[in-house]
Amino acid sequence: MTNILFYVLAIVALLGAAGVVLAKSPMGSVVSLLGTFFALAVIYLLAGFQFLAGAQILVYAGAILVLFLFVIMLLNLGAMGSKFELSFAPLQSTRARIAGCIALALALVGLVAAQRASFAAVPERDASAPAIDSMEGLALELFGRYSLPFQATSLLLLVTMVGVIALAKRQRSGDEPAKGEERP
Amino acid sequence: MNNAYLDGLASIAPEIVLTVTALGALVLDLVAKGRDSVRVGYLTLAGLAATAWFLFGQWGQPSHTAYGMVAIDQFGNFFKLFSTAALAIVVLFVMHDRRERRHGIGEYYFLLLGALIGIFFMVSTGNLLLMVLGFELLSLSSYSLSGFHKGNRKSAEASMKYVIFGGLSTGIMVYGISLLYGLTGTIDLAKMAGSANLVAQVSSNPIPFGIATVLVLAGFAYKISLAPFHFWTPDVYEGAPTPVTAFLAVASKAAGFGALLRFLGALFLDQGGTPLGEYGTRVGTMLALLAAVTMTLGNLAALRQPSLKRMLAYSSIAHAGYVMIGIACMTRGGFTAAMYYLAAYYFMNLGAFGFLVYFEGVTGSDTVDSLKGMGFKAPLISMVMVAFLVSLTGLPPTVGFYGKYLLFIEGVDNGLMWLVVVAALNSVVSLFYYLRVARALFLSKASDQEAAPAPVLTGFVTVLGVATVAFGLYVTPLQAWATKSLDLIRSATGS
Repeated sequence: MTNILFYVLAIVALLGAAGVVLAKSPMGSVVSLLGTFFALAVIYLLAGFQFLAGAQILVYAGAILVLFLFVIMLLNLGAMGSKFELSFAPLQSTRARIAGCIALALALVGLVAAQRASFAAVPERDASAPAIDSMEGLALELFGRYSLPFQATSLLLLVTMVGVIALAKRQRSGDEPAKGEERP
Repeated sequence: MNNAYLDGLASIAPEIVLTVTALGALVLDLVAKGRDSVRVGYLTLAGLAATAWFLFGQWGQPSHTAYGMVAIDQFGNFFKLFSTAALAIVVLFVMHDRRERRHGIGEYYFLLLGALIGIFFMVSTGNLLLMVLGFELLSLSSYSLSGFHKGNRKSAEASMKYVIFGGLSTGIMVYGISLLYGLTGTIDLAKMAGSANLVAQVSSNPIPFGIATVLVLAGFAYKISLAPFHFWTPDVYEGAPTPVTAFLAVASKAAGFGALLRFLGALFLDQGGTPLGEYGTRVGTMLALLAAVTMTLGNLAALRQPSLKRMLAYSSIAHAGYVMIGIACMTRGGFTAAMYYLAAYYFMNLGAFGFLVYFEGVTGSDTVDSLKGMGFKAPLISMVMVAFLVSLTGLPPTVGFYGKYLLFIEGVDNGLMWLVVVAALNSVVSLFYYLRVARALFLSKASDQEAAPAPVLTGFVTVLGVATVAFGLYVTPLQAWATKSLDLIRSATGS
């Protein structure tokens, strides 16, 4: 039962991801992304991580997607098409087809290999590692053993933020472009 | 506050100093309202000097911190010190680059320092989670930096291509890591290598492990621009501001190699006879094939480049191929040779890019043709450039020659004769395009372009040139350092 549910959810997540890329309107992309997030949240639940599933819904579906929707509404991109349509235009070129064929062939090779592979054993969970399925266990791990990666992540976010601001900031009027910048 | 916590903080002091410096640069630029760009540069240099001082303080016995995630050892120090020095030189480039915009300088230095922190995490951890975070820290800073010339189409294109390629390869790599985790139940490399489960899996059916390894290696191959993951390199290197290109070509690439050496070293090195060790030789054969393809592609493409910047980009692809000879050996000697060559690569490539910064400032162009006759206008820096070119080709008496010599010896010793022949032929090909630059400098008729003096830039490029020749003549210290650094790789990853 769990296995079947997992496969169904995995397919939903993949379809959602494809929808993000293929949807014609930005609104369609956001809705597809929502489907992926929900499917992922249920997969976390199946794996026994209630808190992660909740956080996934609250943070991603609740906060980040709403922000996306706001941006799309504010930029008035939602008016481009109210219906959910898929666009396959990027896949029409010959090069894309060749690349797709190669990728498909590689995926098939991988699938066949995985099919033929016999797994020696499923590894045991590290016995010394505490359980992280509860909120308390997760917090102890996150702010204990993994405190350095946690802080590295905060630095990563800061760097990303500064980088985005530096790129997105409009050029000030008094700021002349550097010499030789308008090369063809 | 207990003492263990403070000790832990002390052992990541270089990273903390870098973070504080980065924030300081950002704030100082904000307070000075973008007018005082020189002072921000000096602050960054001071921070880098403090970092180097703390790194020297960590000389000695290897230790672990942050629950065994960060290894403080000679191997990490080797790459950290070189990256810190490389960044200091890049900052000097920025300060003396006539084309560099002055506004947004705080963000510029902040992102460079952020990239350096990423490098520090990458080369000093045996934990794949922290390694990926370091990878991303470096990558995300590099994406923004390569697009820093706003309004320039090439710069925007470079940034966009870099983001797409980088995002895809990180995704592939993380997928491979998730497979490795599934096979071993841990993300710590040392525990992974000791996992009984993995050994059983590899000896009965190595295919799942093979797929995982190839996927992870794809992520590394992107960072060090190994074929067939090199397509982003020429465009990004050409579009990015030249000091950033120097940073990407030297520090970022060497850091990718550092992380790759740690990954391969922890899993496969010194495992002769065991199933994992035997599988390592097969991975080595695959890497040897990639090395041959990479150096040939890089050199052949470099032949036809009119732009010096693009030529150096392709040449850096070719050099990644040379370094892979040592790694493909999958022996201690091979790894040491690769590290020596990387050290050589720091000197000669930074120098070559320094020349490019100077020369772009003078002529506003980066084509080899516009170099004509510059050798007589700016004799010192041009002569030093010829030394770098000789070293890049791999001719004596330079550090590049000895590095290549070591790589070739290790290759022959480990049965990669065919690869060494390919590399030797490639060196001959590279001679053509490197000499083209030297010919334009000294054997062509002078143009009427005046060479403006840039004493500081000329000064430290000359220092790099002297180092290139000096370490080529007196090879012992650098080689001893590389050997010593590698000796600790095993103990570094065990916790």
